[in-house]
Amino acid sequence: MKTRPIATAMAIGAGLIVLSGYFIPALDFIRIEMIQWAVVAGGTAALVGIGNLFTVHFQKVRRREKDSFYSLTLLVSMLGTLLAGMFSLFFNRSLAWLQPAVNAIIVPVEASLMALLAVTLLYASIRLLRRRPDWMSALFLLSAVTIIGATAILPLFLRDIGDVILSWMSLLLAGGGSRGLLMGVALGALTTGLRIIFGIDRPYGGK
Amino acid sequence: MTQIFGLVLFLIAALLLIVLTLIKRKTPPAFRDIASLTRLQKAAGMAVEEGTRLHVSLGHGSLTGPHGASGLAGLALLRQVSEQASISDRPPLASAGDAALAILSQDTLESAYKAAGAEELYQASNGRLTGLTPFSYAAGAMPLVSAEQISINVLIGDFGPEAALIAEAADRENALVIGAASDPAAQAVLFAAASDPLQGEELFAAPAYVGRDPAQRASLQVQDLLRWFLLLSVLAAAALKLAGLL
Amino acid sequence: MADILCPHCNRPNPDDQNICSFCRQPLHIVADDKAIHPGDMPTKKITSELEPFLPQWLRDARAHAEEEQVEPPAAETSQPAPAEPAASDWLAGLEAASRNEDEEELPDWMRGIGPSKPTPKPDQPKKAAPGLTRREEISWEEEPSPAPQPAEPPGTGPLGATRSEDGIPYWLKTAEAAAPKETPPDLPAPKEETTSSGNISPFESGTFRPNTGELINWLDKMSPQVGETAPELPRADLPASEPLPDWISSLDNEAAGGKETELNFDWFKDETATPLAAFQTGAETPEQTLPEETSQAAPPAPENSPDWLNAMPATGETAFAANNLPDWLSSPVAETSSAEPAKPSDTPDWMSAFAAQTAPASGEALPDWMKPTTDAPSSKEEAPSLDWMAPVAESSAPKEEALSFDWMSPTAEAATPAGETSASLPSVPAFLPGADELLDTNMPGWLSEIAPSESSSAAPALKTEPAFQDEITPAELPSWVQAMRPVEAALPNMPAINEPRSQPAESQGPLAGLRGVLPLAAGAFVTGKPRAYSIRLEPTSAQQQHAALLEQMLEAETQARPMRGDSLLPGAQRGLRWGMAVILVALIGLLLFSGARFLPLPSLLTPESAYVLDVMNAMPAESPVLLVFDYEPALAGELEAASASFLDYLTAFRNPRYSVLSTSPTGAALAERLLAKSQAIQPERVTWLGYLPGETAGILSFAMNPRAAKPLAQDVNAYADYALVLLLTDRAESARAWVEQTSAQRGGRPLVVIASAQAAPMIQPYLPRQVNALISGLRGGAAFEGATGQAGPAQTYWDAYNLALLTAAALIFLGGMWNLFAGLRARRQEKADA
Repeated sequence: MKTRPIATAMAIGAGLIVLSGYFIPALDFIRIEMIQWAVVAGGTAALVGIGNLFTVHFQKVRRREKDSFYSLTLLVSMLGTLLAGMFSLFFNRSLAWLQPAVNAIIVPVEASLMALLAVTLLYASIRLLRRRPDWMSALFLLSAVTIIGATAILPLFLRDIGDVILSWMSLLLAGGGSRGLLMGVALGALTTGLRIIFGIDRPYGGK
Repeated sequence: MTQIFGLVLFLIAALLLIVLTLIKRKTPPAFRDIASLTRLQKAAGMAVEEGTRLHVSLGHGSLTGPHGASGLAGLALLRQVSEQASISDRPPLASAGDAALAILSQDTLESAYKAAGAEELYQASNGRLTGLTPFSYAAGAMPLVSAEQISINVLIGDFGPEAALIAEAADRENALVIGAASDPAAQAVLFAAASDPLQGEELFAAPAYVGRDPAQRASLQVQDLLRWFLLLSVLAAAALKLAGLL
Repeated sequence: MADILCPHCNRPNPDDQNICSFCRQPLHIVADDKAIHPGDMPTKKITSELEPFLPQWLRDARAHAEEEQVEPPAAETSQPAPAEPAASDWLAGLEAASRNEDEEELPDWMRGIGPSKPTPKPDQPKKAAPGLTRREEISWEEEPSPAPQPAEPPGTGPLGATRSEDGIPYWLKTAEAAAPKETPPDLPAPKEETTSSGNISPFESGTFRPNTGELINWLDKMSPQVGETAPELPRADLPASEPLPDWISSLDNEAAGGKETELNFDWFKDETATPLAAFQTGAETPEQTLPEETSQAAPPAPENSPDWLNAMPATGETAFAANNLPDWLSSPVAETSSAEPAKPSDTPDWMSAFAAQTAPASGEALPDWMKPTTDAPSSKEEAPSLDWMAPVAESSAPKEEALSFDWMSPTAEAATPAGETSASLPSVPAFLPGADELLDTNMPGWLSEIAPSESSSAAPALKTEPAFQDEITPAELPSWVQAMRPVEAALPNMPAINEPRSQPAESQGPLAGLRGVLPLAAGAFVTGKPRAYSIRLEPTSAQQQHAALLEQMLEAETQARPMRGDSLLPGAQRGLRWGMAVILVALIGLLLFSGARFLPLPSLLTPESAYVLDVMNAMPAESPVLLVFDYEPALAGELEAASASFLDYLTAFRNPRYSVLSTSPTGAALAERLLAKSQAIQPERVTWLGYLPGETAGILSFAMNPRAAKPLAQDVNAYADYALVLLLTDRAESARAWVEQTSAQRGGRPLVVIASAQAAPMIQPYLPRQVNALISGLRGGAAFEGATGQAGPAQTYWDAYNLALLTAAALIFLGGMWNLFAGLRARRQEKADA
C-alpha cells in the first residue's frame, strides 16, 4: 500500500487547518487540538530519538569501534538516569533523585562547554583576519572590541559615555541588523511553510 | 489589524509561489552567486571521490517552534546532497538536536537513496539524535565530526552559540564548514568560526542553489518580492509615523 | 591538282582536304582559331561542330562501344555513376561522327585493327547503356575474337605501351596471331585477321583497336587507287575473314625458316619488283638479304595483297618481285640514301606525297619495314631487318630511336641506326620515302606524332618524334582533343572546377594545364614509397609531458590532501588554544579565589532595568507571580547571577506566591537549583507547574487557560490573575513567544524578562510596553545589586568578568592584528614563490 499520498494529504490538511485557525476564530479550537496532537507526537518522537541514540551507541560499543568507551559511558549514564528518575517518581513522587545529576553533571558539563565556547570564540576571532582578510572581518572584530570595551571598560571610567555607546550600538546597530535578519528569516519560513502546505516539499519521505 | 495584514501577506505569497512555480520561462531567473554554496557543490563531489563523509547538522530547533522552518530547509538540503553522495563509500550523516528532526532526517536519507537507486545502501543509523539540549547536541556532534572521517560539515538549521563548538571541531580536522543559522547570535558565531558562513535568509536559499528545483527557485523569488514589499512598507510606516499620521 | 601545304607540319595535302593527312590538323586556319597549349584553360566548344575533324577510328570505336553496350558489359570493371548529360557533351560529337560512313579516313590496314566483330552499321543509333559514361562507349578493351590471342602484353591500354617486352608492336603481334599458317618460331603467332578488312590489325591485342579499317586498307587500296587523284579512304566494312596479308606473313616465314625465301609480293606484282614482296612470302631472316637481282621475277601477288600494292610497278633493282610497287616503294629499296619521288602515275596522290616529300639524302627512300635488306646501303650482308618489329633497343640505340615507329616514317631508315636489326626479322625501313601519303588524313594525331623524327634532310616527312620521349615539347592540341576537354559548364558540380587553385594542374595528357577536372580524393593518390612506421613507441615531447602530468595526478590521488587547510600547523593551533585558555582560566581563577574586589559595581540601573523597581512597587503583596524558566543549563551561571538578587529583593519586598513553569525539559531542574540557593524563597510558597511542552503553542494554550494546561495552578483561573510574569530565558525567541502569545491575555500585567546578555539586544525593542523591564546578563544583575545595595553572586563575578572581558578584547585586537599582517606576509610569500 502506498502511504505517500496519504502522508502528503494529511500534512497538507493539517497545515491548512492550523493556518486557518489563526485567522478564523471559529477554527481556533481545532487548531489548539491539533497542536496538542503535534506536541504528543513530538514527545513520542523524543522517545524514538532516544531509542535511536541508544541503538547507535550500543552498536558502537558492540563493534568496539573507536571511542566506544565514551559510548559506553553514555549508555550507562542514560540508563542510570532513567532508572533514577523512575525510582524517584515511584518512591518519592518527585524527581528529587535526579537533582544531583543535574547539579553535579548536567550543569557543570554544559557550563564547561560554555567556557570552551568562550575560548573557541576567542580563538576564532583572533584567526578571523588570517582566514578571511576582508572588510567584513575587520568590521566584525572592531564591533566586538567596541562592545566589549563598552561593557567592561568604559563603565569603570566613563559610565555615561559607556551607557550611551552601548545603548547606541545595541539598539541601533545590532538591533536593527538583527531585525532585518529576522524579517528575512521570517519570510523564508513563510515560503517554506507554503511549500509544505502545497506539497512541494515533502520531508516526510516524499519524492 | 495584525491578523488581516498577515492574511493578506500569506495570500500574496501563496499566489506568487504558485504562479512562479508553474510558469515556464525560456531563461531561468538569475540569482546572485553565493560562493559558499558553490563551494558546497564542488566539495560534495570531491567528498565522494575522496571517500569521505558528508555531515549535515540540522540543529536543535523543534518543528513546532518558530524556527522549525530552518529545520525543514536543512532537510531539503540534506535530501539533495545525500542523493549526490549516496554512491560514496562512506554515506552521508545527519545529526539533529530534536527527536522529530532526527526521524525526519532518517526518512529523508531513505528517500534520497531510493531516488539514487541505492536503497540497499541506506542505513537508519545515518540519521542520529545526538542530544536533546543544544549543548548536549553539540557535544554529541563533535566526536561525530572527528571520528567519522567527515570532510564536509553543513550546519543548517536552528542553532545557538554552541554551533561554534561543532565548527571548531571540524576546523581541527581541516574539514569544510558551511554554517547557516536562523538565530542572529548563531550567525555571528558562525561568521567567525565557520569557513563558509551564510548570513540571514541565505539559509533558505541553500536548497534552491544546490538542487535547482523550480519550486525552490520560485520561493526565492517570492522572498525577494515580499522583502521589497516589507521594505517599502516599513519605510512608509516610518514616514507616516514621523509625519504624525500613525 | 594543287596541293595545300599543311600549316602545321608543312606537308602537302590535296586541296580538297580540310584535315592534314599527316598531323591531323586543320589545313585552313580560322582567323580566330588559336592553337591550344598546355596550361590554357579550356574554352567551351560545341562538339558537334568538331565532328568532321574527328578521326574515323575514333568514331568507329565509339560506334562499336555503343553496340556493345546493348549487352551487359561482363568484362568491364565497375564504373562510376553515369555522368550527367552535360558531362558527356564532349563525346557527343564523337558519337555522331562515328555513325558517319562517309568520313572513313583510316586506311584499310588500320581499319582491320578494330574489334573482331564485323562492324555493320547499326540500324538505329545505339544509346549509351545506363550507368555508363561517354568514355565507356569507346571500348578500348579487348574484343572477343575467335582467333587465338597471342600472349597479352601486360599493362596495355589504348594509349599505353604499344610494344611488347620483346619490342614487337602489339598490333603486329595480333596480326601475326591471326595468321594461322607459317608462324615463325621466333615470332609470335600472327593473329588471324578478324576485321572486316581481312588484314591483321596491329592493335588487335587489345591496346588500340580502332573500329575503322582506315589504317589497314590503305595497302589494299594502293593498286586500285593508282592513277586516282584522290586517295580513297579505306573502308571499314572489309571482310573480317581476310587473313593476314602475305607481306606480313612472309616476314614470319622468313624469320622462322632462316632461308632465303622468295618474297611474295603479289600485291606488288603490278607495280614493281621490290623487296616489299618479300614480306608477302614470308619473314626474311636477318641473314638473308634481299635479292638484288632485278631480274628476279617478282613473286605473284597474293590474293590478299593490297590493291595499291598490286597496282604499283615493279622495279628491277631490288629483289622484291613486287611488280606493282610504286616508285616510292621501288626506288628506296636499293638506294637507301636516295629517295626518288614517286611517279604520279603510279602512286595515289596520298602516296605521292610521300614520294615527293621523302627524299632522304642518306638513302632512306623506302621505309625500313618495306626493305628486305638492311638499312645500310653498303652492307649487303646485313639481312633486312624489321626495325619496326625489332624489340626496343635496350642499350645500343638511343632511346628515341628505340621507341620510334620506323614503319610509319618515310625516312625511317635514317632514323634507325645501322646495325639495329632484329635477330629474326629483316630490317626494313618503316616508311619509304614519300610514304607520307600512306598515312592518310585519318591518321590520328598521336599516331602521326609518334612517327620517327626526320633526318637532317630538308625533305618534309612525317614527324618522327617517338611517342615515348621524356622531353616532349608540348604540342598544340588538335581541335578534336579540345572538344574532349572538359569545360566548366560541362562539369558544374565538381568542386575542383569552382576552386581550381586548390587542385594541382595536370601536366600531361589532354588535360594538361587544367585544374580540378579529376576529383582529387584526399589521400587517394599515394605516390612513392609508403612511409615506414616504426613499431617502437616514439612519444613526442608534448606526449611525454602529458604522461608525466598524468603520473603526478595519479600519485597525488593516493596522498591525502585536506580540502581546506589552515595556514597554521596543528600544533600551533593547539598551542594557541591552550594558551588562551590558560590565560583566561588563570586570570578568572585567580580573581575568584583571591576574592579581590577592586572594581566598583554600577551604582545605577541600566536604562532597560530602570522600570523594574517601579514594577515591584506597583504589585500587591503576596500576589501570585509566574516564574518561567526557559534557559539551558549552559547559561545557568549567568542567569543565576543575574536573577538571584532580584528574586531575593522581590521576595523580601513583596513575598509573592511563585508558580514555577518551564518550557524546556531541564527548566524545572534549573528552577529548583536556583530557588534552593535563594534563602529568601520558601519552598511552601512555590508551586511547581512542571514542564510546558509545545513551545509557542503551549504558551498560548497556557495563556488562554492556565488551569486547563496546568491543573496544579492554585487560585489562578486566568492568566491575568498573575500579578507579575517573570521570564528567565537565554533566547530572544522565547521572550518573543511569551510576548506575542500572552499579550492579549495578560491584561496589562507586567512582564519582566531576565535574559542573557546575548539575547538582550533582541528583547530591547519590546521595551517598555510589551516588556516592562529587562535585566540583561551579569551586568544587569550587578547593576541591580549596586542600586539596591544587596550582595549577590554578581558582585563576586564582577571583577573577574570585567578583567576577562578586557583580556579577551586585548587578545582579539592584538591577535587579530598579528594574524592580519602574518596572513598578508604569507600570501605575499606564496605569490612570490608561485
